[in-house]
Amino acid sequence: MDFNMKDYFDSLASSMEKKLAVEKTARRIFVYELGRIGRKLFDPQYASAWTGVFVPFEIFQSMDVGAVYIEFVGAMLSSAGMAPHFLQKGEESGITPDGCAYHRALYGAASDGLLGKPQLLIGATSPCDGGLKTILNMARLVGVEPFTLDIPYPPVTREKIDYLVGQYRDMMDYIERLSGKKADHDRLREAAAHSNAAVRIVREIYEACKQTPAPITSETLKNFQVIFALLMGSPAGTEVARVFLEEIRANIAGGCKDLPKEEFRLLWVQNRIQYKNNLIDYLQTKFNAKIVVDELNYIYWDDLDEDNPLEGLAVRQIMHPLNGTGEHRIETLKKMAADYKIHGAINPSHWGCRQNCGMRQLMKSALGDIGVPMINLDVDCVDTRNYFEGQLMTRLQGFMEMLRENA
Amino acid sequence: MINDIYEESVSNKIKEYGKPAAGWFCSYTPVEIIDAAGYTPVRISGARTSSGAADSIMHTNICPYIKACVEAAESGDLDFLDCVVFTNGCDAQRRLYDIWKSRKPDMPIYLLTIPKKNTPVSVALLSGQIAALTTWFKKQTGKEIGDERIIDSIKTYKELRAIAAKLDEKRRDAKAPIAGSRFAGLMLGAQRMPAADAIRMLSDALEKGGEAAQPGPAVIIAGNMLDDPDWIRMIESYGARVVADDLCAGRRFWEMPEPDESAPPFAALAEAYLSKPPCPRMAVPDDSVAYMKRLVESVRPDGVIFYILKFCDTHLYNVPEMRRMMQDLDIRALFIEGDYTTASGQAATRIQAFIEML
Repeated sequence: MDFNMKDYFDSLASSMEKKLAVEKTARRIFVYELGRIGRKLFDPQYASAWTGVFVPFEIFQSMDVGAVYIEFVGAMLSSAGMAPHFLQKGEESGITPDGCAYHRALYGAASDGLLGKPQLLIGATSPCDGGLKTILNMARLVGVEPFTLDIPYPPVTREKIDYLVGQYRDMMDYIERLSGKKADHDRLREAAAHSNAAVRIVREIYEACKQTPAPITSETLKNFQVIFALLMGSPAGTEVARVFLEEIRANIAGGCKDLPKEEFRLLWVQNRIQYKNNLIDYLQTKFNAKIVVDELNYIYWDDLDEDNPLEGLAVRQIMHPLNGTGEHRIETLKKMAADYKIHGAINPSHWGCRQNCGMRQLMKSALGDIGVPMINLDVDCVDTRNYFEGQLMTRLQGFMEMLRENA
Repeated sequence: MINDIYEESVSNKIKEYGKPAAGWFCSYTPVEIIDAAGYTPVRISGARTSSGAADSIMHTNICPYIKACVEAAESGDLDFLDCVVFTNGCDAQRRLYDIWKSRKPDMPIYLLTIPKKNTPVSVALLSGQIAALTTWFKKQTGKEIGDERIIDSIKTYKELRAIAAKLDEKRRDAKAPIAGSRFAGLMLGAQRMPAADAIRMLSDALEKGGEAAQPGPAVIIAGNMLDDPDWIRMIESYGARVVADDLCAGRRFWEMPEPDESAPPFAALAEAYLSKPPCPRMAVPDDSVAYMKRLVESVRPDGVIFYILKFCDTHLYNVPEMRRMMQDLDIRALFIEGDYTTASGQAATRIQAFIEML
């Protein structure tokens, strides 16, 4: 396939730059910044890294590491309509077709030489086995020494914080050793300050979405925090968050008149479907059902101590709702459902995601106990090859009719 | 007699030991602590047939062994257990813990978290986790578990593992090799009885020999949870000798560095468990692929059968590298994704063809 990732990111950033010159919207700024992050992978000024999701990008920011997590690349290939080719490549390389397509697409792309050779590979044991195994496979494929963050489970203890902070320090040594980029306490403090500033704004955004009607569309905050993580610790993160908040404030000031109607408030569990589809539009237009919150859009941590940011980052990573037992995650979901006055929840049950699919009935049952029905779809969020929209719409129709009867 | 523990009802046999029973799943579970706490450690096998109960609780794309364990629990077959120790061995195992907690609220259970790295700080962390597990057992029994008892258990399992190693060598004995299926039955039995009884059983087998392997091409069987000697017997029925394994219920149970007797017992256990032949879950430089390479170079089999349960990411993500490695070593390999049932017709046909080719 004739595809070049550097060109892709260049084109993304430059086309957004042009659009921003015409009209500045939050989503455009967001995409523009993502293009710039992608460019860093190919900019010699930065050390290039592929990482696991939920690793602390503040550290990378402070060390001039241009990093993207591997699921982001899988999502990007899917949204660009190129995933099937690379999924096929991954399968031909021996990666099981029953595994996560985010990882398989990335492996296929890397096998094709699409991604070049990063200087750094940083995996984490959370949230899933597949992500870490993919980083380790990449290491073999491209011949780069990997580094693994071993994340202890909640609850937080002094011992676990020290364990993870020690690994962050080892990771910084690893970055320095492989890339020559130096750790700098002042820059890390600065990154922590940027992170805190952005998070304070994001909290305000989420707080606004608890209102009825929520001052957003179902798409406004799609993939928001999980992608926003890439900007954590940078001034761009604060700027993106600020523009989103401005838009939301404008919607509130306008009485949300320009937004679609909101009869049902939905919670989307885990990740969105990354390729073009009509499900969200169907829910909105047929049922006035709006996704007012995504599970992964949740600030659960306190501000980082800017004088000692590594400890705060460790607590954040240990306490991630997807880390550890299901109880921890379920309590978070129940709280979100209550806070956002949710009528129903949708879990795509991304095929190949063991940590999600293994507990989907527990989530459904727990949310059901507080009066929030959840539907488990069976859809691969990256791979279009087994996507049958008609069937999914029929199931969603049944689900929405049930919510209507319950109302 | 040797395979009794496998072939007859496990629960009836366990009762004969006159001790409470603690279930466990993962080869990283420190059985020494279970033994020291006065329990019979019982490695749990899943149900071989499905009533559909597990499918209604977990997605179809979850490890069939884990779902078979859910099935066994739902059927009541595991109600004889007094407690269960889980680990965070993989995503499916931690979900098994969640399901168990939800479905068996009256059964005491414990989740032991095992680091995926083997560094001095990982060892220290695991040492603390093993200490916490011991405290939990103290609460279950209301009895002290002193260092002496733990050290005794460490010594007992050290002896057990040493005998297992000798039996493993007997699989490759030029004069009177023992059959791989017999070895598998012995290992399963040893994981489902008090260590002292297991030592007697294994010593007896070592002394008396018994069911001998037939001549034929030598194969290694590798993968994850293959806890059914009939599977190995099926391979043997096609004329192959199973001379070694790299399986959860086989080598990953018995092969372990000896715990350092001069170190505090929790630290000694932590160090030994994190240093044993690595499961693919581990993120260590000397990983499971490197270990497999050494095993193949040492045994020099005619072929390797990889039997990997479907949906096991930790193992299946290794397949590309394992394939490359086997090609480099010029060893023929067969990769089968299994469903935890006794070999299906299709799998059996593939194995038969593979062995004929050897």
